[in-house]
Amino acid sequence: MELQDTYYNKSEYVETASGNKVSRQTVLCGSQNIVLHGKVIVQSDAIIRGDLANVKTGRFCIISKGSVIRPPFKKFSKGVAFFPLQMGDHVFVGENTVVNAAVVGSYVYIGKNVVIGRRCVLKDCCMIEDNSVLPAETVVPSFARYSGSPARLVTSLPEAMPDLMTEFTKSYYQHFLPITVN
Amino acid sequence: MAYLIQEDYVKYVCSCGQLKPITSLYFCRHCLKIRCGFCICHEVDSHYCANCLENMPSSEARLKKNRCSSCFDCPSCFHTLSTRAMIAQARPSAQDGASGDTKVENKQPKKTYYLSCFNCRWTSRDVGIPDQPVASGGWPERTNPFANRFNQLLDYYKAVAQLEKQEKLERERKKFAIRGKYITLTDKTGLTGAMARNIAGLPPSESGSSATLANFTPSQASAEVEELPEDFYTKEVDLKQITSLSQRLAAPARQPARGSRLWPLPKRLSVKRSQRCRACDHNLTKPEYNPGSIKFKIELLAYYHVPEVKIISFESVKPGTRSELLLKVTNPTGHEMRLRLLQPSDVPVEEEQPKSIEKSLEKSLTLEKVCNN
Amino acid sequence: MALYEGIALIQEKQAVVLDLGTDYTKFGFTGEAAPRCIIRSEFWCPSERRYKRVHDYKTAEELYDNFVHMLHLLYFRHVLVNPKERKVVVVESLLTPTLFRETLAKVLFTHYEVSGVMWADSPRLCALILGTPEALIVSIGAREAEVTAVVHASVVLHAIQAQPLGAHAIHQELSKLLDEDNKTELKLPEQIIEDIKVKTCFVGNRERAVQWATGNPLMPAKSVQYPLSGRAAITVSGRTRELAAEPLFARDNELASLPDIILQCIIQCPIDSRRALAQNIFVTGGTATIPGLKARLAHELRYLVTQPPYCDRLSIREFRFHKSGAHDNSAAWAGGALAGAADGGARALARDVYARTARLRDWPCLLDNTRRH
Repeated sequence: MELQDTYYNKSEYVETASGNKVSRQTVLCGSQNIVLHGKVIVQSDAIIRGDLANVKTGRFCIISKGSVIRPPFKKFSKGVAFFPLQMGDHVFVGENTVVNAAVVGSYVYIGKNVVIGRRCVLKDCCMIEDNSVLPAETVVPSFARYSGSPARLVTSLPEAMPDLMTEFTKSYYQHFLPITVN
Repeated sequence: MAYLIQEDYVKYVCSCGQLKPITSLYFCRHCLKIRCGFCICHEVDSHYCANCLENMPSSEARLKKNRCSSCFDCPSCFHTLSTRAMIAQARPSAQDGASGDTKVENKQPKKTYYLSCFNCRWTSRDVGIPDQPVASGGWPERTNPFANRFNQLLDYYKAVAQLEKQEKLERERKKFAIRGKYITLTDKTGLTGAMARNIAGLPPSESGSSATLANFTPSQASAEVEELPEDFYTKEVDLKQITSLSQRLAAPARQPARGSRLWPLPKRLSVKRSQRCRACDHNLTKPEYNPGSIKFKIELLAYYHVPEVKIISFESVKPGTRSELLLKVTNPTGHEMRLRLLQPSDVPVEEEQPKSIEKSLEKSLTLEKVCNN
Repeated sequence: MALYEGIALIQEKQAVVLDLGTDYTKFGFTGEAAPRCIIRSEFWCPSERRYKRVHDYKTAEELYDNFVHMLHLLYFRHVLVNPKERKVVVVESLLTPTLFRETLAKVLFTHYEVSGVMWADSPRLCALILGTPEALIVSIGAREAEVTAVVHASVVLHAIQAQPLGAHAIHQELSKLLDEDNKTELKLPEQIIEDIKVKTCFVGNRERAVQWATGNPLMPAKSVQYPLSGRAAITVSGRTRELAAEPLFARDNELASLPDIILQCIIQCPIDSRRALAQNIFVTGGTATIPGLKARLAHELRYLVTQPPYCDRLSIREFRFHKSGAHDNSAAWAGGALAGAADGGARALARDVYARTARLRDWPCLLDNTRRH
């Protein structure tokens, strides 16, 4: 089935010159450290913790309602250090998901209610199914589909995954339309 | 997977007759046929570790039994273990070697490493594995308790098989060779192979096998069977100390029954697969060598060659009335493509195609990359 | 000889050994003491979005698909070699259904294009592990317990005994007993039942079993609180722990308990081999790992043989047991690894032969079991 149009309240969203659509009801801490590379949708109640460290996303990323993007920390003998969080292009982050990863590659699909533990590395083209928990420092290889708690490899993804993700995020962006409510 | 998160509504008939979503189909450019995972030949291309993303040549992988030498899995929950560093002095119960020359140690704190699981908090110290001075590798390995016996048996049966082969050859030789015109050197001189070896100062060739044959002892049966320990009836059971079946089977060679005997499992390697058309032996997909790369050297997917059909909207079918089904057909190639919608009668039975609801119309469509409807 | 072997190794790829059990599959290489993996005989079925067991099939086509998926998983996820042009040793029970064998052969030869398959029956492979001329193999698997006499490397076919006294029978009893313990219908999934069995259950000795049966109060073993995720912990009473495996020893008028079928097997064997068989009993199979089972079996045998109907027909009073040269659950597999390595796959059914005749040798078939002149 083709994606259905989703409508948003025009007054709720800010659209930047590069095509980012960011809800006003989000918490973007340390916004000077947050780079959204264009055509990124950040939906309401999402939290991006730029105050901890830099957060960078690629193009066509979708950050759904209630999700948390939070740079990971590492404990050292002398204290705690935060690491920047990098996200590639065409990444989908589902609702109420917490992402503590160090790197999220391109063409990554993260489902609903997922917890991505500290300093995980999600390689390009992988998929984390809904309600999974990825323990800290997991490396998810390319073309892997993880599920469960703790998440394990279930099966592999088709070779066309990059194109599927591109199509998915692009059409999501195209079907994300404003309605003006007066 | 064609819809990523929804079910696969539209399925395509592969040339082998299977119905598959478009994402699991391939298109052989040389046979001009659709192929699927079922009717192609899969091949191991390269071995790599999914954790450290390092390639391993296949000969080395075979030697290391397809295990990574630096990454380990938790024997308790099978999550990847992380290496933790620890300053040796910080731990009073450091190894004997470290405590021996404390004066040197005081000046240069030595780092030691242990393995720890972030999922279940298992650490290599739990089972008494000493900390290692280097971050990767060097972890002691456990061997199969039955390996020695197995090798004995293997030598024995190899010798038996060898003997059998020799006897067979001997029989053949007796049957035919004697009547032959040509006399071999050994026949003429009465020199047997064994004697020739003896003269040349070589050890007799069969001695190895005959020795193993003679020295072999079959397994001895005993009247006593290992009785159940009496304390089984009285002892409390600590479930945490008994391993589960999956924990045991993760190490098929040792199968530890107690939690204290769990040992880090070297991580299993993964492979990159290349796929080949069975009919013409051409590659359909061939991944790049680099384990981190998602690119392919050859990638003949149906997705790039076959028009993709998507359902835009549909009405539920009611008897007697006409229902509407809106399809979107995408031409992924840059070339003109002819499309024919078939009548139900033209379609071989059993497959009810969504197309069949439409009126029969044959039309040639020049499809650019169709955007919408 | 060593030189020849080296060349043979280069020319001939190391064969793989496949033991496709009802619950667990053992897979690895010949010449190795332990399988590379022991995994559940199930695979992820993307169309049904669940794990599917290989042995769940209704039609031959479905079984074919199951094999293709399972073997793909084994070859490309676990053993990481190309199936093509490589020999396979298939470890099978003598009572494997013909459909199962033939479909497996079809998958291996036509789908995976292996160069040869050596079909080997598990009792004789177990006897290989022992190295004794006579052996009585008691294999307690997932579904059935099979008792087979092997005399000088041939199976005494008319004496084969098999009863559904395997892990599944224990699981059934255990889940019944657990319901009694907790006074509700728990409806636990099979995997949890299995885990409870592995972690808590044992087989008590004969006297205790008799006392349980007569209802005399007895000091039961300690009960265990078994935690369940998302539910309250359940009680596993000492009685349950001890009696779960009792169905294996339950005698009825049919005399079909485990010790009974062992004795019946001995009785049906040639009279001159009976004593040797009784002194070379080898208990194997995954279920044989339950603590105390082997001891109890020995007690029962020694007792039953003094009772009618056996006391008149068998003059044997002594039973001896082998301790195996491999783990219980992979003894037959290890035998396959030995057999495959020893003769270098000379006994394998080659692919071209299969392509010509398209049939497998099987012992119930008159073409194969009658002497040809």
